[in-house]
Amino acid sequence: MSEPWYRMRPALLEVDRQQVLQAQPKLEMIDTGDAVLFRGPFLLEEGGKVHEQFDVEVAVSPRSQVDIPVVREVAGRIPRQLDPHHVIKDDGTLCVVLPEAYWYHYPEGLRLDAFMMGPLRSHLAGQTFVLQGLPWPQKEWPHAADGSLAFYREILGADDRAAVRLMLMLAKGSIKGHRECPCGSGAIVRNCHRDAVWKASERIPRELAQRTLYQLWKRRQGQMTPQEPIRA
Amino acid sequence: MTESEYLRKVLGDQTLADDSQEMKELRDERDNVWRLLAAEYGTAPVRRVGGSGAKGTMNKEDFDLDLPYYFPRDDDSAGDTLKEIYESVEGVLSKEYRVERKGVAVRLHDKEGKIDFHIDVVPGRFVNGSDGDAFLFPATSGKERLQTNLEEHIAHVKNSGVIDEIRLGKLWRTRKKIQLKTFALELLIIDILSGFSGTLAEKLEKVLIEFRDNSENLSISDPANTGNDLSGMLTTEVRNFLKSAARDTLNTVRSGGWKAVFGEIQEESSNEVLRRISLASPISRPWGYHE
Repeated sequence: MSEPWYRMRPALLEVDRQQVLQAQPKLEMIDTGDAVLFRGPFLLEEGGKVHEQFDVEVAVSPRSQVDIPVVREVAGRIPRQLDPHHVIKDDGTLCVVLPEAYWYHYPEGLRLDAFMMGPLRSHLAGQTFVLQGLPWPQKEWPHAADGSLAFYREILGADDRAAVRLMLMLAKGSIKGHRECPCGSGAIVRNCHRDAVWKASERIPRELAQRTLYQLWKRRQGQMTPQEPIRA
Repeated sequence: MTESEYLRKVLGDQTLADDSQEMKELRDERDNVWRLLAAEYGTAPVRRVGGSGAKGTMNKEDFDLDLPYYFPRDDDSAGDTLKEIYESVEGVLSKEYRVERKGVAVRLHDKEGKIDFHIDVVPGRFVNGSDGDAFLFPATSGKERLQTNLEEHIAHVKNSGVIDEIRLGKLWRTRKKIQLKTFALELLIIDILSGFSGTLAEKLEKVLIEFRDNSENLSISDPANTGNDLSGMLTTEVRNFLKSAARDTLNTVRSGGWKAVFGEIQEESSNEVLRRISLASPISRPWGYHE
Protein backbone atom coordinates (compact mmCIF):
# COMPACT_ATOMS: atom_id res chain seq x y z
CA MET A 1 0.00 0.00 0.00
CA SER A 2 1.29 3.45 -0.82
CA GLU A 3 2.20 6.03 1.81
CA PRO A 4 -0.89 7.50 3.56
CA TRP A 5 -1.85 10.92 2.21
CA TYR A 6 -1.30 12.51 5.62
CA ARG A 7 2.34 11.44 5.67
CA MET A 8 2.94 12.88 2.22
CA ARG A 9 1.04 16.11 2.88
CA PRO A 10 1.10 16.81 6.63
CA ALA A 11 -0.02 20.41 6.07
CA LEU A 12 -3.37 19.09 4.82
CA LEU A 13 -3.74 16.98 7.94
CA GLU A 14 -3.10 20.07 10.05
CA VAL A 15 -5.91 21.88 8.22
CA ASP A 16 -8.20 18.91 8.88
CA ARG A 17 -7.16 18.86 12.52
CA GLN A 18 -8.03 22.52 12.98
CA GLN A 19 -11.38 22.11 11.28
CA VAL A 20 -12.26 18.98 13.25
CA LEU A 21 -11.38 20.65 16.53
CA GLN A 22 -13.46 23.65 15.60
CA ALA A 23 -16.43 21.37 14.98
CA GLN A 24 -15.76 19.03 17.92
CA PRO A 25 -13.50 20.85 20.40
CA LYS A 26 -13.23 17.98 22.88
CA LEU A 27 -11.64 15.59 20.43
CA GLU A 28 -7.89 15.18 20.39
CA MET A 29 -5.71 14.12 17.48
CA ILE A 30 -3.38 11.21 18.22
CA ASP A 31 -0.73 10.00 15.82
CA THR A 32 0.18 6.45 16.79
CA GLY A 33 2.72 6.10 14.02
CA ASP A 34 0.54 3.46 12.37
CA ALA A 35 -2.59 5.57 12.25
CA VAL A 36 -3.99 9.02 12.86
CA LEU A 37 -6.94 9.06 15.25
CA PHE A 38 -9.31 11.64 16.65
CA ARG A 39 -10.34 10.49 20.07
CA GLY A 40 -12.54 11.88 22.85
CA PRO A 41 -16.08 13.03 23.60
CA PHE A 42 -18.18 13.71 20.51
CA LEU A 43 -20.81 16.28 21.46
CA LEU A 44 -24.32 16.31 20.06
CA GLU A 45 -24.75 20.00 20.66
CA GLU A 46 -27.21 22.52 19.38
CA GLY A 47 -28.33 25.93 20.50
CA GLY A 48 -25.60 26.08 23.12
CA LYS A 49 -26.77 22.87 24.82
CA VAL A 50 -25.12 19.45 24.75
CA HIS A 51 -28.00 17.00 24.29
CA GLU A 52 -25.86 13.84 24.32
CA GLN A 53 -22.28 12.77 23.93
CA PHE A 54 -20.36 9.63 23.00
CA ASP A 55 -16.70 8.78 23.43
CA VAL A 56 -15.44 7.98 19.99
CA GLU A 57 -12.31 7.14 18.08
CA VAL A 58 -12.24 8.17 14.45
CA ALA A 59 -9.44 6.70 12.34
CA VAL A 60 -8.50 8.90 9.39
CA SER A 61 -8.54 6.91 6.16
CA PRO A 62 -4.97 6.52 4.86
CA ARG A 63 -6.26 6.27 1.29
CA SER A 64 -7.67 9.72 0.79
CA GLN A 65 -8.65 12.86 2.64
CA VAL A 66 -12.28 12.36 1.68
CA ASP A 67 -12.57 8.59 2.11
CA ILE A 68 -14.94 7.13 4.71
CA PRO A 69 -13.20 7.04 8.11
CA VAL A 70 -13.47 4.11 10.55
CA VAL A 71 -15.41 5.09 13.68
CA ARG A 72 -15.64 3.29 17.01
CA GLU A 73 -17.49 4.12 20.21
CA VAL A 74 -14.90 3.43 22.91
CA ALA A 75 -16.72 3.80 26.24
CA GLY A 76 -18.86 0.69 25.77
CA ARG A 77 -22.16 2.58 25.87
CA ILE A 78 -23.23 1.18 22.54
CA PRO A 79 -23.40 -2.63 22.65
CA ARG A 80 -21.34 -4.45 20.03
CA GLN A 81 -24.38 -5.83 18.26
CA LEU A 82 -25.08 -5.66 14.58
CA ASP A 83 -28.79 -5.62 15.36
CA PRO A 84 -30.07 -3.16 16.26
CA HIS A 85 -26.96 -1.02 16.83
CA HIS A 86 -25.07 -1.57 13.55
CA VAL A 87 -21.81 -2.19 15.39
CA ILE A 88 -19.36 -4.87 14.23
CA LYS A 89 -18.89 -7.34 17.07
CA ASP A 90 -15.23 -8.10 16.39
CA ASP A 91 -13.79 -4.62 16.38
CA GLY A 92 -16.56 -2.27 17.50
CA THR A 93 -16.73 -0.39 14.19
CA LEU A 94 -19.89 1.64 13.75
CA CYS A 95 -21.44 1.08 10.34
CA VAL A 96 -22.16 4.75 9.80
CA VAL A 97 -22.85 4.87 6.09
CA LEU A 98 -23.51 2.67 3.09
CA PRO A 99 -20.55 3.36 0.77
CA GLU A 100 -22.75 3.49 -2.33
CA ALA A 101 -25.00 6.10 -0.70
CA TYR A 102 -21.96 8.08 0.43
CA TRP A 103 -20.44 8.41 -3.05
CA TYR A 104 -23.83 8.87 -4.70
CA HIS A 105 -24.64 11.86 -2.49
CA TYR A 106 -21.13 13.21 -2.12
CA PRO A 107 -19.28 12.51 -5.39
CA GLU A 108 -16.33 14.58 -4.22
CA GLY A 109 -16.38 12.93 -0.80
CA LEU A 110 -16.49 14.70 2.54
CA ARG A 111 -13.62 16.21 4.47
CA LEU A 112 -13.31 14.81 7.98
CA ASP A 113 -15.07 17.68 9.77
CA ALA A 114 -17.96 17.53 7.30
CA PHE A 115 -18.23 13.75 7.74
CA MET A 116 -18.27 14.16 11.50
CA MET A 117 -20.84 16.94 11.55
CA GLY A 118 -22.95 15.27 8.87
CA PRO A 119 -23.34 11.47 8.72
CA LEU A 120 -21.54 10.67 11.98
CA ARG A 121 -23.48 13.24 14.01
CA SER A 122 -26.74 11.91 12.59
CA HIS A 123 -25.66 8.33 13.26
CA LEU A 124 -24.86 9.01 16.91
CA ALA A 125 -28.11 10.92 17.38
CA GLY A 126 -29.90 7.86 15.96
CA GLN A 127 -28.03 5.60 18.39
CA THR A 128 -29.53 7.54 21.32
CA PHE A 129 -32.98 6.35 20.24
CA VAL A 130 -31.85 2.76 19.74
CA LEU A 131 -30.33 2.84 23.25
CA GLN A 132 -33.81 3.76 24.53
CA GLY A 133 -35.21 0.67 22.78
CA LEU A 134 -36.73 2.73 19.99
CA PRO A 135 -36.26 2.24 16.25
CA TRP A 136 -33.73 4.22 14.21
CA PRO A 137 -35.48 7.51 13.26
CA GLN A 138 -33.60 7.48 9.96
CA LYS A 139 -34.46 3.82 9.25
CA GLU A 140 -31.73 1.27 8.42
CA TRP A 141 -30.18 -0.38 5.42
CA PRO A 142 -30.16 -4.18 5.44
CA HIS A 143 -26.69 -5.58 6.12
CA ALA A 144 -23.96 -6.46 3.63
CA ALA A 145 -24.90 -6.97 -0.04
CA ASP A 146 -28.60 -6.68 0.77
CA GLY A 147 -28.02 -3.06 1.79
CA SER A 148 -26.42 -2.27 -1.56
CA LEU A 149 -29.21 -4.10 -3.35
CA ALA A 150 -31.80 -2.05 -1.45
CA PHE A 151 -29.96 1.13 -2.33
CA TYR A 152 -30.04 0.41 -6.09
CA ARG A 153 -33.68 -0.63 -5.78
CA GLU A 154 -34.44 2.72 -4.19
CA ILE A 155 -32.72 4.91 -6.71
CA LEU A 156 -34.52 3.12 -9.53
CA GLY A 157 -37.80 2.71 -7.67
CA ALA A 158 -37.81 -0.88 -8.94
CA ASP A 159 -37.20 -4.50 -7.87
CA ASP A 160 -34.14 -6.67 -7.16
CA ARG A 161 -33.79 -7.77 -10.77
CA ALA A 162 -33.63 -4.15 -11.90
CA ALA A 163 -31.08 -3.39 -9.16
CA VAL A 164 -28.88 -6.28 -10.31
CA ARG A 165 -29.16 -5.14 -13.93
CA LEU A 166 -28.00 -1.67 -12.91
CA MET A 167 -25.11 -3.14 -10.91
CA LEU A 168 -24.08 -5.22 -13.93
CA MET A 169 -24.05 -2.09 -16.07
CA LEU A 170 -22.01 -0.22 -13.47
CA ALA A 171 -19.63 -3.12 -12.92
CA LYS A 172 -18.94 -3.34 -16.66
CA GLY A 173 -18.79 0.43 -17.04
CA SER A 174 -21.14 0.13 -19.98
CA ILE A 175 -23.63 2.94 -19.44
CA LYS A 176 -25.05 4.27 -22.68
CA GLY A 177 -28.10 6.47 -23.13
CA HIS A 178 -29.48 4.38 -25.97
CA ARG A 179 -29.33 1.09 -24.03
CA GLU A 180 -32.40 -0.41 -22.41
CA CYS A 181 -33.08 1.05 -18.97
CA PRO A 182 -32.20 -1.36 -16.15
CA CYS A 183 -35.57 -0.73 -14.50
CA GLY A 184 -37.18 -3.12 -17.03
CA SER A 185 -39.66 -0.63 -18.49
CA GLY A 186 -38.43 -1.36 -22.03
CA ALA A 187 -37.60 2.33 -22.61
CA ILE A 188 -34.05 3.46 -23.30
CA VAL A 189 -32.03 4.94 -20.43
CA ARG A 190 -32.14 8.44 -21.93
CA ASN A 191 -35.94 8.46 -21.82
CA CYS A 192 -36.31 6.67 -18.52
CA HIS A 193 -34.07 6.68 -15.41
CA ARG A 194 -31.50 8.93 -17.05
CA ASP A 195 -30.65 10.95 -13.93
CA ALA A 196 -30.35 8.05 -11.50
CA VAL A 197 -28.34 5.88 -13.89
CA TRP A 198 -26.10 8.76 -14.92
CA LYS A 199 -25.47 9.78 -11.33
CA ALA A 200 -24.74 6.22 -10.26
CA SER A 201 -22.29 5.65 -13.11
CA GLU A 202 -20.51 8.95 -12.57
CA ARG A 203 -20.27 8.71 -8.83
CA ILE A 204 -20.24 5.20 -7.46
CA PRO A 205 -16.86 3.47 -7.76
CA ARG A 206 -17.15 0.53 -10.13
CA GLU A 207 -15.54 -1.81 -7.59
CA LEU A 208 -18.49 -1.37 -5.21
CA ALA A 209 -20.93 -2.76 -7.78
CA GLN A 210 -18.47 -5.54 -8.67
CA ARG A 211 -18.04 -6.44 -5.01
CA THR A 212 -21.77 -6.59 -4.32
CA LEU A 213 -22.39 -8.72 -7.41
CA TYR A 214 -19.61 -11.04 -6.29
CA GLN A 215 -21.11 -11.35 -2.81
CA LEU A 216 -24.55 -12.07 -4.23
CA TRP A 217 -23.07 -14.67 -6.56
CA LYS A 218 -21.13 -16.30 -3.72
CA ARG A 219 -24.20 -16.41 -1.57
CA ARG A 220 -26.10 -18.07 -4.39
CA GLN A 221 -23.35 -20.65 -4.61
CA GLY A 222 -23.82 -21.26 -0.88
CA GLN A 223 -20.18 -20.45 -0.23
CA MET A 224 -20.60 -17.50 2.01
CA THR A 225 -20.36 -17.85 5.75
CA PRO A 226 -22.60 -15.62 7.87
CA GLN A 227 -19.69 -13.74 9.42
CA GLU A 228 -17.61 -13.15 6.33
CA PRO A 229 -16.90 -9.44 6.09
CA ILE A 230 -17.47 -7.38 2.98
CA ARG A 231 -15.22 -4.41 3.46
CA ALA A 232 -15.46 -1.10 1.63
CA MET B 1 -31.60 32.35 29.91
CA THR B 2 -28.74 34.72 29.15
CA GLU B 3 -28.66 36.89 26.02
CA SER B 4 -25.98 34.65 24.48
CA GLU B 5 -27.98 31.50 25.22
CA TYR B 6 -30.96 33.09 23.52
CA LEU B 7 -28.83 33.98 20.48
CA ARG B 8 -27.61 30.39 20.24
CA LYS B 9 -31.23 29.27 20.18
CA VAL B 10 -31.82 31.67 17.32
CA LEU B 11 -28.96 29.97 15.49
CA GLY B 12 -30.38 26.53 16.25
CA ASP B 13 -33.70 27.66 14.84
CA GLN B 14 -31.96 28.91 11.69
CA THR B 15 -30.09 25.67 11.03
CA LEU B 16 -30.98 24.22 7.67
CA ALA B 17 -31.18 20.43 7.87
CA ASP B 18 -29.37 18.49 5.19
CA ASP B 19 -32.58 16.61 4.37
CA SER B 20 -34.70 19.76 4.18
CA GLN B 21 -36.58 20.54 0.99
CA GLU B 22 -34.42 23.62 0.39
CA MET B 23 -31.21 21.56 0.56
CA LYS B 24 -32.62 18.83 -1.66
CA GLU B 25 -33.63 21.38 -4.27
CA LEU B 26 -30.24 23.06 -4.04
CA ARG B 27 -28.43 19.76 -4.56
CA ASP B 28 -30.67 18.81 -7.50
CA GLU B 29 -29.99 22.12 -9.21
CA ARG B 30 -26.27 21.81 -8.52
CA ASP B 31 -26.28 18.39 -10.17
CA ASN B 32 -28.15 19.77 -13.13
CA VAL B 33 -25.58 22.56 -13.52
CA TRP B 34 -22.69 20.08 -13.44
CA ARG B 35 -24.45 17.89 -16.00
CA LEU B 36 -25.06 20.79 -18.36
CA LEU B 37 -21.46 21.96 -18.12
CA ALA B 38 -19.99 18.46 -18.40
CA ALA B 39 -21.99 17.85 -21.57
CA GLU B 40 -20.39 20.93 -23.11
CA TYR B 41 -16.84 20.96 -21.73
CA GLY B 42 -16.18 17.38 -20.58
CA THR B 43 -14.37 16.65 -17.36
CA ALA B 44 -11.24 18.82 -17.60
CA PRO B 45 -12.62 21.93 -15.84
CA VAL B 46 -12.42 21.76 -12.05
CA ARG B 47 -15.73 21.89 -10.17
CA ARG B 48 -15.78 23.30 -6.68
CA VAL B 49 -18.47 24.02 -4.12
CA GLY B 50 -18.45 27.18 -2.04
CA GLY B 51 -20.96 29.53 -0.49
CA SER B 52 -22.48 29.56 2.96
CA GLY B 53 -22.77 25.75 3.10
CA ALA B 54 -19.02 25.31 2.62
CA LYS B 55 -18.21 28.08 5.09
CA GLY B 56 -20.63 26.89 7.79
CA THR B 57 -22.52 30.19 7.74
CA MET B 58 -25.80 28.98 6.29
CA ASN B 59 -29.10 30.25 7.72
CA LYS B 60 -32.61 29.14 6.82
CA GLU B 61 -33.46 32.68 5.86
CA ASP B 62 -30.25 33.33 3.99
CA PHE B 63 -28.34 30.72 2.04
CA ASP B 64 -26.53 30.37 -1.24
CA LEU B 65 -24.36 28.01 -3.19
CA ASP B 66 -21.28 29.14 -5.10
CA LEU B 67 -20.12 26.82 -7.84
CA PRO B 68 -16.68 27.83 -9.07
CA TYR B 69 -15.97 26.25 -12.43
CA TYR B 70 -12.35 26.74 -13.37
CA PHE B 71 -10.63 25.79 -16.60
CA PRO B 72 -7.03 24.58 -16.46
CA ARG B 73 -4.46 27.17 -17.57
CA ASP B 74 -3.93 25.60 -20.98
CA ASP B 75 -7.56 24.66 -21.69
CA ASP B 76 -9.17 26.91 -24.29
CA SER B 77 -12.31 24.82 -24.87
CA ALA B 78 -14.50 27.69 -23.63
CA GLY B 79 -12.42 30.47 -25.15
CA ASP B 80 -9.07 32.21 -24.96
CA THR B 81 -9.95 35.17 -22.78
CA LEU B 82 -11.70 35.30 -19.41
CA LYS B 83 -14.52 37.23 -21.04
CA GLU B 84 -14.98 34.47 -23.62
CA ILE B 85 -14.96 31.81 -20.88
CA TYR B 86 -17.53 33.73 -18.85
CA GLU B 87 -19.78 34.26 -21.86
CA SER B 88 -19.43 30.68 -23.03
CA VAL B 89 -20.43 29.28 -19.63
CA GLU B 90 -23.22 31.83 -19.39
CA GLY B 91 -24.45 30.68 -22.80
CA VAL B 92 -24.48 27.01 -21.81
CA LEU B 93 -26.37 27.76 -18.58
CA SER B 94 -28.89 29.96 -20.38
CA LYS B 95 -30.13 26.85 -22.24
CA GLU B 96 -31.96 25.83 -19.08
CA TYR B 97 -31.90 28.90 -16.84
CA ARG B 98 -32.51 32.59 -16.92
CA VAL B 99 -29.08 33.91 -16.10
CA GLU B 100 -28.15 37.11 -14.33
CA ARG B 101 -24.68 38.65 -14.26
CA LYS B 102 -23.68 39.18 -10.68
CA GLY B 103 -20.11 40.36 -10.18
CA VAL B 104 -17.81 37.49 -11.14
CA ALA B 105 -20.70 35.02 -11.04
CA VAL B 106 -23.67 33.92 -13.11
CA ARG B 107 -26.78 33.78 -10.89
CA LEU B 108 -29.39 31.19 -11.89
CA HIS B 109 -33.15 31.67 -12.02
CA ASP B 110 -35.86 29.57 -13.58
CA LYS B 111 -36.72 30.41 -17.19
CA GLU B 112 -39.67 32.56 -16.13
CA GLY B 113 -37.50 34.46 -13.69
CA LYS B 114 -39.85 33.66 -10.80
CA ILE B 115 -37.51 31.41 -8.82
CA ASP B 116 -34.08 32.40 -7.61
CA PHE B 117 -32.17 29.15 -7.06
CA HIS B 118 -29.59 30.89 -4.80
CA ILE B 119 -26.87 29.40 -7.01
CA ASP B 120 -23.94 31.39 -8.40
CA VAL B 121 -21.74 29.73 -11.00
CA VAL B 122 -18.30 31.33 -11.07
CA PRO B 123 -16.41 30.70 -14.31
CA GLY B 124 -12.66 31.22 -14.27
CA ARG B 125 -9.26 29.97 -15.27
CA PHE B 126 -6.43 28.78 -13.06
CA VAL B 127 -3.43 31.07 -12.93
CA ASN B 128 -1.12 28.05 -13.09
CA GLY B 129 -1.96 24.46 -13.97
CA SER B 130 -5.22 23.28 -12.49
CA ASP B 131 -5.04 24.26 -8.83
CA GLY B 132 -4.62 27.27 -6.55
CA ASP B 133 -5.29 30.86 -7.58
CA ALA B 134 -7.73 31.59 -10.36
CA PHE B 135 -8.49 34.53 -12.64
CA LEU B 136 -12.14 35.54 -12.74
CA PHE B 137 -14.01 37.90 -15.04
CA PRO B 138 -15.75 40.73 -13.15
CA ALA B 139 -18.57 41.03 -15.65
CA THR B 140 -20.34 43.92 -13.98
CA SER B 141 -17.38 46.08 -13.00
CA GLY B 142 -15.74 46.84 -16.35
CA LYS B 143 -12.42 45.42 -15.21
CA GLU B 144 -10.51 42.87 -17.21
CA ARG B 145 -9.80 40.31 -14.55
CA LEU B 146 -9.55 39.59 -10.86
CA GLN B 147 -7.23 37.10 -9.21
CA THR B 148 -8.39 35.21 -6.16
CA ASN B 149 -8.46 31.87 -4.37
CA LEU B 150 -11.71 30.28 -3.27
CA GLU B 151 -10.10 27.86 -0.82
CA GLU B 152 -8.48 30.75 0.98
CA HIS B 153 -11.81 32.57 1.20
CA ILE B 154 -13.52 29.52 2.65
CA ALA B 155 -10.67 28.83 5.07
CA HIS B 156 -10.55 32.50 6.13
CA VAL B 157 -14.21 32.41 7.14
CA LYS B 158 -14.33 28.82 8.38
CA ASN B 159 -11.31 29.27 10.63
CA SER B 160 -12.22 32.75 11.80
CA GLY B 161 -13.65 31.54 15.11
CA VAL B 162 -16.63 33.87 14.65
CA ILE B 163 -18.99 31.70 12.61
CA ASP B 164 -21.91 32.20 15.00
CA GLU B 165 -21.40 35.96 14.94
CA ILE B 166 -21.33 35.90 11.13
CA ARG B 167 -24.53 33.87 10.97
CA LEU B 168 -26.29 36.29 13.29
CA GLY B 169 -24.88 39.23 11.34
CA LYS B 170 -26.24 37.75 8.10
CA LEU B 171 -29.64 37.16 9.66
CA TRP B 172 -29.69 40.75 10.92
CA ARG B 173 -28.67 42.08 7.48
CA THR B 174 -31.36 40.00 5.75
CA ARG B 175 -34.12 41.07 8.11
CA LYS B 176 -33.03 44.71 7.85
CA LYS B 177 -32.87 44.38 4.04
CA ILE B 178 -29.37 45.85 3.84
CA GLN B 179 -27.85 45.44 0.38
CA LEU B 180 -24.42 44.36 1.59
CA LYS B 181 -22.79 41.34 -0.06
CA THR B 182 -22.28 38.35 2.18
CA PHE B 183 -18.55 38.19 1.55
CA ALA B 184 -18.14 41.84 2.54
CA LEU B 185 -20.18 41.33 5.70
CA GLU B 186 -18.12 38.27 6.64
CA LEU B 187 -14.86 40.16 6.18
CA LEU B 188 -16.14 43.13 8.18
CA ILE B 189 -17.25 40.97 11.11
CA ILE B 190 -13.99 39.00 11.15
CA ASP B 191 -12.01 42.24 11.08
CA ILE B 192 -14.06 43.98 13.77
CA LEU B 193 -13.89 41.00 16.13
CA SER B 194 -10.22 40.32 15.56
CA GLY B 195 -8.60 40.42 19.00
CA PHE B 196 -11.92 41.12 20.74
CA SER B 197 -13.10 38.66 23.35
CA GLY B 198 -16.50 38.46 24.95
CA THR B 199 -19.74 36.53 24.95
CA LEU B 200 -21.71 35.97 21.76
CA ALA B 201 -24.07 38.83 22.68
CA GLU B 202 -21.16 41.15 23.47
CA LYS B 203 -19.46 40.35 20.19
CA LEU B 204 -22.61 40.96 18.17
CA GLU B 205 -23.08 44.24 19.98
CA LYS B 206 -19.46 45.20 19.26
CA VAL B 207 -20.06 44.65 15.53
CA LEU B 208 -23.15 46.85 15.56
CA ILE B 209 -21.41 49.57 17.59
CA GLU B 210 -18.69 49.68 14.92
CA PHE B 211 -21.32 49.90 12.20
CA ARG B 212 -23.07 52.72 14.07
CA ASP B 213 -20.04 54.75 15.13
CA ASN B 214 -17.51 54.06 12.45
CA SER B 215 -19.37 53.29 9.25
CA GLU B 216 -17.41 55.90 7.23
CA ASN B 217 -14.10 54.21 8.00
CA LEU B 218 -15.05 50.57 7.45
CA SER B 219 -12.78 48.89 4.92
CA ILE B 220 -12.31 45.40 3.54
CA SER B 221 -9.54 43.60 1.72
CA ASP B 222 -9.51 40.26 -0.06
CA PRO B 223 -7.72 37.73 2.19
CA ALA B 224 -6.59 35.83 -0.92
CA ASN B 225 -5.24 38.88 -2.73
CA THR B 226 -4.70 42.20 -0.98
CA GLY B 227 -4.41 43.81 -4.41
CA ASN B 228 -8.13 43.31 -5.04
CA ASP B 229 -10.03 46.48 -4.35
CA LEU B 230 -13.27 45.51 -2.62
CA SER B 231 -14.20 49.04 -1.55
CA GLY B 232 -16.90 49.09 -4.24
CA MET B 233 -18.95 46.79 -2.01
CA LEU B 234 -19.16 49.53 0.62
CA THR B 235 -20.92 52.36 -1.14
CA THR B 236 -22.03 55.48 0.73
CA GLU B 237 -25.59 54.20 0.59
CA VAL B 238 -24.60 50.86 2.17
CA ARG B 239 -22.57 52.62 4.87
CA ASN B 240 -25.56 54.84 5.71
CA PHE B 241 -27.89 51.87 5.86
CA LEU B 242 -25.50 50.01 8.15
CA LYS B 243 -25.23 53.01 10.43
CA SER B 244 -28.94 53.66 10.84
CA ALA B 245 -29.94 49.98 11.09
CA ALA B 246 -27.25 49.37 13.71
CA ARG B 247 -28.38 52.40 15.71
CA ASP B 248 -32.01 51.22 15.67
CA THR B 249 -31.05 47.67 16.67
CA LEU B 250 -28.81 48.80 19.53
CA ASN B 251 -31.63 50.98 20.87
CA THR B 252 -34.01 48.02 20.64
CA VAL B 253 -31.54 45.75 22.45
CA ARG B 254 -31.13 48.33 25.21
CA SER B 255 -34.86 48.49 25.83
CA GLY B 256 -35.99 44.92 25.15
CA GLY B 257 -32.93 42.68 24.75
CA TRP B 258 -32.05 40.59 21.71
CA LYS B 259 -35.43 38.85 21.86
CA ALA B 260 -36.97 42.15 20.78
CA VAL B 261 -34.74 42.03 17.69
CA PHE B 262 -34.97 38.39 16.59
CA GLY B 263 -38.28 37.35 18.20
CA GLU B 264 -39.50 34.37 20.22
CA ILE B 265 -37.99 30.94 19.63
CA GLN B 266 -40.04 27.85 20.29
CA GLU B 267 -38.37 25.45 22.71
CA GLU B 268 -37.59 21.91 21.55
CA SER B 269 -36.99 18.95 23.84
CA SER B 270 -33.64 17.14 23.66
CA ASN B 271 -35.34 14.18 22.02
CA GLU B 272 -36.84 16.44 19.36
CA VAL B 273 -33.45 18.00 18.71
CA LEU B 274 -31.75 14.59 18.51
CA ARG B 275 -34.43 13.26 16.20
CA ARG B 276 -33.91 16.23 13.91
CA ILE B 277 -30.12 15.73 14.02
CA SER B 278 -30.52 12.03 13.26
CA LEU B 279 -32.46 12.91 10.11
CA ALA B 280 -30.23 15.78 9.07
CA SER B 281 -27.78 13.88 6.88
CA PRO B 282 -29.11 12.42 3.61
CA ILE B 283 -26.96 9.33 4.18
CA SER B 284 -27.68 8.79 7.87
CA ARG B 285 -29.17 5.30 7.51
CA PRO B 286 -26.79 2.82 9.15
CA TRP B 287 -25.60 -0.26 7.29
CA GLY B 288 -23.49 -3.27 8.24
CA TYR B 289 -20.74 -4.89 6.26
CA HIS B 290 -21.45 -8.30 7.81
CA GLU B 291 -24.38 -10.50 6.91
